[in-house]
Amino acid sequence: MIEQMIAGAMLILLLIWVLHRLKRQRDQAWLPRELRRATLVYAEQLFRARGPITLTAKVDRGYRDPAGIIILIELKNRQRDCVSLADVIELSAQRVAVMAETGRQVALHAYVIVQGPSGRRVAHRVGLLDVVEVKALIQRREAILIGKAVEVQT
Amino acid sequence: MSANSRPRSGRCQRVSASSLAQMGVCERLVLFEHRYGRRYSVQQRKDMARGGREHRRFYLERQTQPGGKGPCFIAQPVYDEGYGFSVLRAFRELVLPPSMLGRGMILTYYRAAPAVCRMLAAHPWLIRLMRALLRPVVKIAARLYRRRVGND
Repeated sequence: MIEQMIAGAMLILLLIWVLHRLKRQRDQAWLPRELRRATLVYAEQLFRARGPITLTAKVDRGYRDPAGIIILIELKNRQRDCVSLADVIELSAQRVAVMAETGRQVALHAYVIVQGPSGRRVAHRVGLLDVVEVKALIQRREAILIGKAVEVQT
Repeated sequence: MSANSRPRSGRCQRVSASSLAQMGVCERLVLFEHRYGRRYSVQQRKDMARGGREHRRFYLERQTQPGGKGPCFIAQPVYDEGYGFSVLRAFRELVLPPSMLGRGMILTYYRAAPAVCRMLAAHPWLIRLMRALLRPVVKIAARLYRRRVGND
C-alpha cells in the first residue's frame, strides 16, 4: 500500500515537472533558436555614440552568443505582424551606439519581436545598415532639418 | 516646441535612434515634426501607453529568460539596482553563504524567485507592494551586513 502511494506521488511530481517544462518552453517559443543558448547582457539600457551629433539609443535587449557577438532585439507592439524600414534604422542606430560605447562586436543582423494584441510574439530576423550608412542617414536628417537637403522624400 | 525643434547651431546636438527611425517612415514628416513638434491622436496615445506597459513587462521577464538570471531575481525589478538591491545582493553574497541555514535560504530563494518574478511581470502594481514588504528586510539585511563587515 505504502509503495503504491509513493509511486503515485512520484508520478504526480513527474507530471508536474513535465507540465512546468512544457509551459516554460511555450513561454520562450518566440525566442529565436540562435538566442536560446545566448546570454542576456543588456536590457532597457541606454547607449551613446559621441560625435558632432551624439546618437543615443535604448536597447530593449542584447544577447551575447557563444562567439561573443552581441545580437540585438527590439520589441514592437503592433496590430499587424509586419516589420518596417523604420525598425531596421532604429536597430542599426542601436548597433552603432552599442559598438561605440562598449567597443564590442555587434551582429549585422537583429530581431524584431512583433507582439500582437493577443500577446503572441513573432520574431523577424532583419539585416542592419552598417556604420557608414547610419552616419550618412544622420547627416541627411541634419541636412533636411536645416533645409539643405536637395530633395525631401515622402 | 519640441526638443527636436531647437536651432541646429547649438553645441550639443543629439539624435535618438527612434527619431532617426522616422527617416524610414517619411522625410517630410521628420521636417514637419521638427518645425511644429510631434502631435499624437488619442489612439496613438493609447497605443503608446500600451507599448510602455508591454515594454516594462518585457523588461521584467528578462529574469526568467535563459542566461538572464540577474544577480538578484526579485530585488532587481523592485529596486532597479538602487540601494535596496545592493544591500540584498551583498547580504546574499557575504552574510548567508557561511552557514548551512543561509545556503538553504539561498537555494529556496533561487527555486521560488522565478515564479515570484513571473507574477511581478504579470502584475506590475505588485512591485510597489513588494517594495513595501521588503523595506524591513532591507533594514535588517543592512544591519547584519554592517555587523559582518565590521567583524571581518
